[in-house]
Amino acid sequence: MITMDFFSKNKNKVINAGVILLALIVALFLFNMQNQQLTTLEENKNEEIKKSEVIDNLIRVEKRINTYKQAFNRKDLGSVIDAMTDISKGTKVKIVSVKPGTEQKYPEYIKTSFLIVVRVESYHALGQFISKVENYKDLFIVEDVSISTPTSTQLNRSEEAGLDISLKISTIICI
Amino acid sequence: MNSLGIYFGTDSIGLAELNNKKLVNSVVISQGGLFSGNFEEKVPTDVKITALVKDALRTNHIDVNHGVICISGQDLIIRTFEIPKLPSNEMQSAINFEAKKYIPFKLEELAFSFQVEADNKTKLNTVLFVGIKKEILEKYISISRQLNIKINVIEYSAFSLLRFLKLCGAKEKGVIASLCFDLDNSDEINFMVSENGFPFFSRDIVLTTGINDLDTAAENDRMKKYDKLKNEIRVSQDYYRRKFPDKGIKTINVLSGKDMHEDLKSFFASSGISAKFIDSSKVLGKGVKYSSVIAKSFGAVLCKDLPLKVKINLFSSRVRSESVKNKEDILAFMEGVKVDFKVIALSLLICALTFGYGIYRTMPVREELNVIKDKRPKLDSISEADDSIVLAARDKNLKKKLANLDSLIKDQLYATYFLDIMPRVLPEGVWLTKFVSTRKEDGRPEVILEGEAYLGDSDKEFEAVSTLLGNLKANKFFTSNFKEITITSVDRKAVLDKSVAVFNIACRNFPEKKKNDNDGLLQQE
Repeated sequence: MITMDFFSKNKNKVINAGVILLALIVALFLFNMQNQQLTTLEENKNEEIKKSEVIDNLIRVEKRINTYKQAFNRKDLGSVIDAMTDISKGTKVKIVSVKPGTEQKYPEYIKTSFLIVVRVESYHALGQFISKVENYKDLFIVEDVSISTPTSTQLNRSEEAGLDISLKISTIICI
Repeated sequence: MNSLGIYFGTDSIGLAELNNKKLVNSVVISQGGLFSGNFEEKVPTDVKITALVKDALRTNHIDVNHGVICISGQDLIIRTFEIPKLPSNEMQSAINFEAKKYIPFKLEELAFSFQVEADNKTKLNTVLFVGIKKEILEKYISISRQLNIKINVIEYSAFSLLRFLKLCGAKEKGVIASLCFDLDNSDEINFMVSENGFPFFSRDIVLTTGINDLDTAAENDRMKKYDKLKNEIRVSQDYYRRKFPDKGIKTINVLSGKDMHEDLKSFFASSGISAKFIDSSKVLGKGVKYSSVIAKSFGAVLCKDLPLKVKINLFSSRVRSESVKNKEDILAFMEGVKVDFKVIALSLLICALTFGYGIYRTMPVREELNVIKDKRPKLDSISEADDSIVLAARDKNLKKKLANLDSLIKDQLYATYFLDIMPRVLPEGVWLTKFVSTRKEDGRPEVILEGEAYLGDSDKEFEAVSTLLGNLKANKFFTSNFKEITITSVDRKAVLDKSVAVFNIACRNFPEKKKNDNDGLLQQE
């Protein structure tokens, strides 16, 4: 009863104090809410910074992969013959045959092989030819070199007869 | 589980214990002794009544924990009035306003309830208003508490009677009157008229009201009481006709002792009303003597099993009035309250400053965020929704792909290098017939060198093959690219009547990947 009397007598003061208290509660609520918002914004900012870094990396990597894709394009038998003819010019190498070989698939690329038979005058000419193949503007990987020169030639120490060389040359196609 | 109906009548208290609509126990307690001076004057009435009821319950072995109370009309204010049709939100205040006209004291002193019956013909609402003084209601609730009986319903005894009549098979359709009396006790007589089950007129008649009356020989005479009853019925009929001229009573259900039936039949017939006498023994049981007190307490118990059209429960109204009182208290407290403008302004300022400070803090971060987003290069293959984890996973996959492609180029063992080295490492009389460069599935390179040796002496030829192996192992290019350089086979074959040694050397690597610095080696070579 005493409490009720006190409230009744001071109800204006009580209500005004209540309004201020309510305002403080609202302000506290706003402050907390905005604090959370700020934390979320900071997190978003960090996330966006990370994202930007990753995107920069991605762009660089994609650019390099695209370069590979442009360099490692598909080569048909005709283009390989053209390349071999071009390479053999000015060397003492005669292209005997060019045949398509097997195709091997890897997760990042496809390796296509060509079986090439050449006749060279000497080991030196062979070395020159293979060097030119491996340094050609398009990528050719020399995987297999078989020298099918008769042993008698070696026994007689004669280079007159020339050397028959079978080559397995591969090209790469980037997926 | 058994239930108890308690009827607090004008002269007596009725107790009816029911189990599944069947009377198990019935007690009529006379209240006459309460006022005869046997009890101390200072003892409150409700305590005296509680003691009486407790005693009756104990004597009759009645053990129940819940029940229903019905109260005589003497304790209640029952009014019927009409109001125009109103929206439901305005109904309460309109009824409160209208009820004040019929009540001799303040509405705040009452616990009340009402039921509205709409009449589509007249477009008026008939309101049945039932109220009870709060202190009287509290008295009955206090009694139930002291008896340890949980009460959820407190109703007007005439409604309990309607339920009893319904159970006895009395019809409800049309304008039907009901009369209940018992000349063997001084309980109030109920005369009620209802239309299709909704009561709109009721009169409670008490023939003997005081102790003095009981003492006189004339009042004890049943016939005189009966004559008085007939007079009261006439008065009630006249009053009813004046009030409801267009709602003529065709039938009256009479619940009473059997001895007056013939006379009453002719009495009602003279007024053009067909009297139907209800056989209470069908419900109460053959051996139970009719008592209006028992009939009312019996009807009260059936409140859940046999609902009526009228659903006025004074116990619920008490709960409702408590909540209304609380609201009123709050409103009374708030009356005259003035909130200072400065306080409102200060409060708004506090909120605004807090909000502004928050904006001030978040603004730079928002701007930074926008700048980061704007500066970011656009990539068609990236969706805005992709987060850094998704992008990082994609980046990892692409990097792996790039690393494999890089390895394909950088780790390639060029045949040129071998062909460049071989003339220098081949000893006299040894030559190369086949060079195979392969790469294992895990990327490790493997080179197979096949060749022949002829020196005219098999020991010297084998020695030459060993020298070749030694030269290869001493070569920096071979040692840096291959961990294992071994002769896998040495054999002999005849060529042109000469025997030559045929050998096979394998250059392999262990699973650890090794960077092939081809350019540096080439320069060194």
